[in-house]
Amino acid sequence: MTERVSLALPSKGLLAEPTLNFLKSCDLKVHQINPRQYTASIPALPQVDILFQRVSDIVYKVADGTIHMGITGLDVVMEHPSSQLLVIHDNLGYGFCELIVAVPESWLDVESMSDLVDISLDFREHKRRNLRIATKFTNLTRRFLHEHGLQHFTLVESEGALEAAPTLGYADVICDLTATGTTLRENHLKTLVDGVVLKSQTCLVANRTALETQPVVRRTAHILLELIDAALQGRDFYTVTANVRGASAEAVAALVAGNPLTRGLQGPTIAPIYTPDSLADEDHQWYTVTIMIRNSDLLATVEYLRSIGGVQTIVTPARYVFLGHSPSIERLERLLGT
Amino acid sequence: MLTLPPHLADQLPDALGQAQRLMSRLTRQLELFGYLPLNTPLVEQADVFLIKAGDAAINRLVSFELNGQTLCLRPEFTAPAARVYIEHFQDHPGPVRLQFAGPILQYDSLSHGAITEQNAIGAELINEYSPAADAEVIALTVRLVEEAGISNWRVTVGHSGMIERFLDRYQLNRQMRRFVINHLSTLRQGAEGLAQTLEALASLEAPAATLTEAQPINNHLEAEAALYALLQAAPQHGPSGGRSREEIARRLLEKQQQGNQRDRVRHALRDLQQLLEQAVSPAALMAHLEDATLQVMAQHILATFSLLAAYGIPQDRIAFDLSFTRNLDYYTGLIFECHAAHEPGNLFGGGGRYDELIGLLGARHNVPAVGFMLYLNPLLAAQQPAPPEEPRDRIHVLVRPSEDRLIEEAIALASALRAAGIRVTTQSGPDAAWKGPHGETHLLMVEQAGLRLFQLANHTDLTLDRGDITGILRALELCS
Repeated sequence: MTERVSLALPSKGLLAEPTLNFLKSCDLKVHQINPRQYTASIPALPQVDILFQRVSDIVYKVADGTIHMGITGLDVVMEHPSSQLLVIHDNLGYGFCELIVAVPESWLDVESMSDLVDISLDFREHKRRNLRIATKFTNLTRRFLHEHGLQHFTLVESEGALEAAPTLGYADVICDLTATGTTLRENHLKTLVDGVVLKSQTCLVANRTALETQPVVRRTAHILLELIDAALQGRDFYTVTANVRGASAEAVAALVAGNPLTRGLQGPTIAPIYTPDSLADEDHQWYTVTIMIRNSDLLATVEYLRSIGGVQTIVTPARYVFLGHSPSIERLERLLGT
Repeated sequence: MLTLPPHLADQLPDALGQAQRLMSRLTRQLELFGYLPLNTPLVEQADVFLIKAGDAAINRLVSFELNGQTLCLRPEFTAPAARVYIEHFQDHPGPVRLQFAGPILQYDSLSHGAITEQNAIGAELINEYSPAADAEVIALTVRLVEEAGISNWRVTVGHSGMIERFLDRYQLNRQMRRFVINHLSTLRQGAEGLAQTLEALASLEAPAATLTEAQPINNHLEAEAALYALLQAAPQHGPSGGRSREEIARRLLEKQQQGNQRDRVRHALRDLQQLLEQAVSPAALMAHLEDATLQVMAQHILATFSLLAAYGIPQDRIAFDLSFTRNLDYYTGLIFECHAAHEPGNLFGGGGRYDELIGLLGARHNVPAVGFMLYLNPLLAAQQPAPPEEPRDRIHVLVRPSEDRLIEEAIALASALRAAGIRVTTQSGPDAAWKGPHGETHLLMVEQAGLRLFQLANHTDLTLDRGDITGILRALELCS
């Protein structure tokens, strides 16, 4: 039984660099001796071998068990589903894009998929040919079109600049990934109101059998999920400390916890500050208040702390927030039926 | 271990034997009606099936891309029959009767992604339009079901063309027409069904807002003016996606004028629900029709029903149901299904008239046709256990040389026995299972239905002159 765990990362493309940054933000810095090499290591996880692969190869190789785990796009996973390929974290928070159906801007009469169904029937009846759709994602596209009742079409499988297909004339419409829609607009294409096939982002996948039979793979998956969950949670929170004057720790606590903004995750931590004045004047002690707040509440929190006499408010990002349990690990164990 | 994908199954010897025996009896019946057997490949161009299949059927089509072509696995025989007719029989004068048998494959309707394989048998009567042709095909379906030993069958008959023709006057767009047809069985449940259907209609997504406010267009000139204005407004740049600006403008105009589709659908649904309530039999239907074309269609159904009586099919075994549909868009006339009595879910098969498919697939002119297909599995379920074989057929001889040097003699002996019509297996090498009761080795052993009955003596006692097997045959006769 192997004691090594292989983890594949995108070798190039839009996900390559952000993946290295993401892992670094989880304290899992990838150590690559030479950027031309296709292997690397993560010093924090000595049992793991990093392999750089294309996003689609990561899906195939994790599905067939050649590689134990990988980080890749949800779009590629959904295009090539396999019972052996488990998505163990589907929300890594980067690499967002949508797989959409786009038609020429000049098709003023086409706004929804039901219009497109009508056009496909027109093509059949009047042009004696199928509507041609260029895509890299033939499985997802075919299923989506069928679900919308569009049956008469020919898929033109194509890699690369699909947006040009209608202009070049080898397809009528396209089904492609878009992050911002800029390329579509520049190529005089428009999306349909109900033409989103899939909303995708980066995900962590693993081979089911490897998870079930190799304890080291399961253990490594747990470590990764624990760190990822905590790091992603940490992104949403700040630790705020402020010095507040009050008659007692309880009085300060009542003020701070009295506002939902500054109640923190569980409640504030209040600690006395021992200044020369405070020793003399027992009624006016200084206390340090420590709370966790959501990023979005920062300015409102600072304002409230000021209003209750808070000074020297220090805000530090929370690197990790470990909850009572890792939701992703729980989900994984449920998936594996344990 | 590698196993079969879910929902697929191997056919093991006993089941295969039973299926083959049934299939040959059914094939024989079709031959007695003059249907010529032929085979088409399991893989066809997907378009053959896509050109006129219904939504449900298309969703179940197993298709794949290969070298830029979309191919698929055969889900039924009618579309291939139409293609075969065009390629090989188009110049044949008069009707052509063809029969098909073999596996059909499609995605399972319940668990998405799983492929199911079934054996089926079908027949197509091409280039004849008459109640007689329809009656022949229904009668043949019943004949085959009865040949399979099933006596409690029922036939449900409907008519695709009548519903289509009925909806014509409401000028519905394709989507709405499809909506009505998909809700026929709900509509048949009286006022409650109508209410349900109207509810489903309300929950359909509202039509997307169009670019410009629709102004009612009252005459041809106004339409042309509106079209011109739209053409002026349409973008001049960018890809056309294979459509001219005029096509786009015309459709946009049509779309704007279709605002009152929903009222028309409601109207159509109410009228249709009434008609379904009245049409309990072809005669009752006849009485409630005003449209001449519909009357001709109803007349055709009446004539077909009376011919079925001539085939000895009792009227009480046939139910007429105008709301009955099949999952295939290519039907244009009478359609039917044969199923177990009181158990409509236990479907043996069905078929119908398709007068446009062959033309759509590229025939020189429209060719009327009618056909049916039966699934083998439900018919097999009604089979009695296999009849006992003839004693001689049950003999299975194992020729096994006791020493390697005798293998050539063993092969020659086996050949001679096979020439005499006896089932023979040769086996070389030691195998304890084939030792005699006292551990002696034999050249020849005889089995009967898996049970060893008789052992011929040690090879040294046998005359093994090639070709002279009379002694052995005599011994086999004795044991059988």
